[in-house]
Amino acid sequence: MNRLASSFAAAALALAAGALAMLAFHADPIAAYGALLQGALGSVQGTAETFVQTTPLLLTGLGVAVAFRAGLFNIGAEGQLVVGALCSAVFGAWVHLPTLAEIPLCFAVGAAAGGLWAAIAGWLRARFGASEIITTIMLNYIAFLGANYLVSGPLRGSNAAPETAPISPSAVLHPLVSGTRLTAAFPLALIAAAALAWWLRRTVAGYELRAVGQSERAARYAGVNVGPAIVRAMALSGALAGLAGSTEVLGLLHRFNAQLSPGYGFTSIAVALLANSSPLGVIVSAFFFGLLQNGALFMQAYAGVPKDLVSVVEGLVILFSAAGMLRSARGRARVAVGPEGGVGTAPT
Amino acid sequence: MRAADGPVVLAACGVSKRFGALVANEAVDFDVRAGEVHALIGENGAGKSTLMSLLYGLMHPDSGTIAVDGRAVRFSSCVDAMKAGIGMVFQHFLLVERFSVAQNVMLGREPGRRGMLDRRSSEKEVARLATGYGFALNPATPVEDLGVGARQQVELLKVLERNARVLILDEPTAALSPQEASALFDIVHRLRSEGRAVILIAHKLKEVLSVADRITVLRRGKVVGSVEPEQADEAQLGLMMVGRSIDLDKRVPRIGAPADVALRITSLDVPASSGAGLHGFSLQARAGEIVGIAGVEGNGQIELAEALYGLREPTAGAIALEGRDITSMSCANRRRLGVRYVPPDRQREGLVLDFSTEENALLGDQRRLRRGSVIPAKTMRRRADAIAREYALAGYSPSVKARDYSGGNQQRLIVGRELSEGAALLLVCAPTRGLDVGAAAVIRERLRAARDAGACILLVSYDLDELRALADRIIVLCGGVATGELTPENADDATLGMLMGGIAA
Ligand SMILES: Nc1ncnc2c1ncn2[C@@H]1O[C@H](COP(=O)(O)OP(=O)(O)O)[C@@H](O)[C@H]1O
Ligand SMILES: [Mg+2]
Repeated sequence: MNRLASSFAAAALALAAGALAMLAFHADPIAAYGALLQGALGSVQGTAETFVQTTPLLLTGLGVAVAFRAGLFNIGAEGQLVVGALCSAVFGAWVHLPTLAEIPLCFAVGAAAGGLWAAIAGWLRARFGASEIITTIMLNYIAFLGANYLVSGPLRGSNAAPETAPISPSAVLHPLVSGTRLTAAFPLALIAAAALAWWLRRTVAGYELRAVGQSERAARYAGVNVGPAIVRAMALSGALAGLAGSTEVLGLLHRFNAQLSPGYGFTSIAVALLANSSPLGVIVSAFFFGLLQNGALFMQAYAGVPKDLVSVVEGLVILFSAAGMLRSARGRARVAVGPEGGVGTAPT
Repeated sequence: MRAADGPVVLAACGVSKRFGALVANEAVDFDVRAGEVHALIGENGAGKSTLMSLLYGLMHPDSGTIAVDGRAVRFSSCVDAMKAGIGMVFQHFLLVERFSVAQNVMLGREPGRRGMLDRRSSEKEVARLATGYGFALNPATPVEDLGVGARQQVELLKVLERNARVLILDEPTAALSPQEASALFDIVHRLRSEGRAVILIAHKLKEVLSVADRITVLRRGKVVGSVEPEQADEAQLGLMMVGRSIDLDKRVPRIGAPADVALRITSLDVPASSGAGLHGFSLQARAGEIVGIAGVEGNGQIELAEALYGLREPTAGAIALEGRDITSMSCANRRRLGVRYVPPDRQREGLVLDFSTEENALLGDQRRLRRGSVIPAKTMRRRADAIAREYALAGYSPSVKARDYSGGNQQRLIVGRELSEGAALLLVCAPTRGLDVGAAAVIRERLRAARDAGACILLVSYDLDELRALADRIIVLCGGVATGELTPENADDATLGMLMGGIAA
């Protein structure tokens, strides 16, 4: 089974299992999924909002995917998103420049902040061999709690609420379609996906990153400086998550507060897994998850199925995607058992 | 003692197996008797492993039958084959790294009571078995801490623990040093004297001739013939295998005199990773010369090669290439100066298995050949095409993954890449280990051509015949110290053996 088919199978199985769950609670899955689709794509506003939900999932999904390609499991996208959002909100409130300068600068600050945050985990991995799974989780807590402290204390705006001061008007990304929240962030995220796909395939840095991900040892023998390559990969991963944070600040909230992300950074792990870490695949899978999240409320309102069912489906996608990967890994081990062809895959 | 006349215990009668258009086995007759070692030889891709999979019940023949004790059987899986007393050790180890020796041996049949594992009794059982065969294995050691030779013993124990009557060993010596291989052959003899039947697949004809009672040659899926070792020699077997005569170990003297000193190593100390490390090693090697490094595996050879390649930092001493000090230069920069490396572990060090052929053809030169920050797509493709053409890479397409080539073709790809532009210093480790004669001949011919083109070559090999066939002089390492230097003419097994054991000749 090829990888594309396996991704579609994972999504379909997850939706089917979700339907079974609904049946078990005497709900009508067809009506529920129908309402979900109606809500997500049934109107201009709904469709635009699906793209709005897709944008941060797409950017963080790219971040997680690029780390995967380097053989790294970045669970810290949510923390990197928060750090990126906070820094670009503070920066956007602080400077007053012409729009054409301020918006790119705000994005750059968000990306740099997220990238640096993730690079800490990359450095710990490269220098001490510390598992990036553990360190990114710990950095998440530091980011959440640190941001909470900052916005309720030192960085709180004039407002009584725990949030930063609003960004300057020249930093605001305005809607592309009036009456919706859809901004230029969405097309920018699409461009980022295409650029990342090209970068991974065609540049020397992308080639080395993939070599490190496939076989750290062979990469070392090919003269790649593995430590710095790992730090760079994590930094790029975090920069994409930080960029996602910036888009939320500049396009939607115009300030930072702790409710900025409903967990985009965590969902992005499912996004990247389902896409098999292919940047172009991430576009499709981010859209799939954006659609689920956006349609969920409509489904709850019109079909009476709690919107949390969508979280269940997301979890199942991770489960089935991982199962698909195990299957192909097992298949490979079996080839090694069988004659020739497969060579030297010790079962892990 | 030879020419066993025990009963035939396992036989393939006229079996054929196709993979799509490819005929992997065609009307093959093959059998093995109790108390006999039957060797099966043939080039990579000749269909040896396929035949073994048919005998072991991993696949079914398209036509023909498999018979156990003279009765036709149809195994539905290898579980049936095991029940019939057949055991197989695969070409690549199938061990759980984190598990102990005992856990690996008993996997699936762990003794226990009421769902609780009885570790003590399984370790005792494995220890008994291991001591019986003279294996120095501690049943409690995790497999990840074992070397290849010991892993091979664990694989054998897995089969012996089930008390198999027929043992199929698919290229068991491919990854072993000559010492480990000869220890393995002692075990094979022991198994034969216990009345077991052994099918042995191997590439080194000398080994095969000394250990087997009967030798069958397979070429392109067909049996070319069976011979008894008394009536055969290496040349004849080589001819049967590839259809033309190859004298693998013939010396071909270099053309012209060697040039100036290219590599100058002065009292180099390199810390060990697992072996001996290197101590006070000095050497001057000329361009257009192959310097062989002999020694038992783990006596400083890898430390030497990796220090020269820039992957290991020496603690003392200096390395100069063409008059330039490179002692603390990075690996990438040394590659720019023309330092090339054919590492000993082709799958884990020489290739990124999941990269395509063309991506692998660029590996190591991605920075030197880049165009701006972009991969040189055309160069990459041209290089892959050229390697495929010059080295007759079977099944080549630029997008085929390295994983999907046989070992011989993987090695051709690596050697082709490392030699694709004239090398100044070529470091080569065990370049033909586990390769069939055809592939080995291609690689040796290319190394000689590189030498004649003016490369300075350092050849680390555990195969004494290879050293004698290729090297212009041979330096022996023992315990990380050079214990002697010989010309290939003077390097007989006895002298080499003494130097390798640290006894002055
Ligand atoms: N599962 C398979 N699918 C397709 N082709 C195969 C398969 N197994 C082996 N082959 C092909 O069959 C031929 C014989 O392979 P094999 O028996 O492994 O050779 P050997 O063990 O002698 O090197 C090779 O050309 C190989 O590529
Ligand atoms: Mg084989």
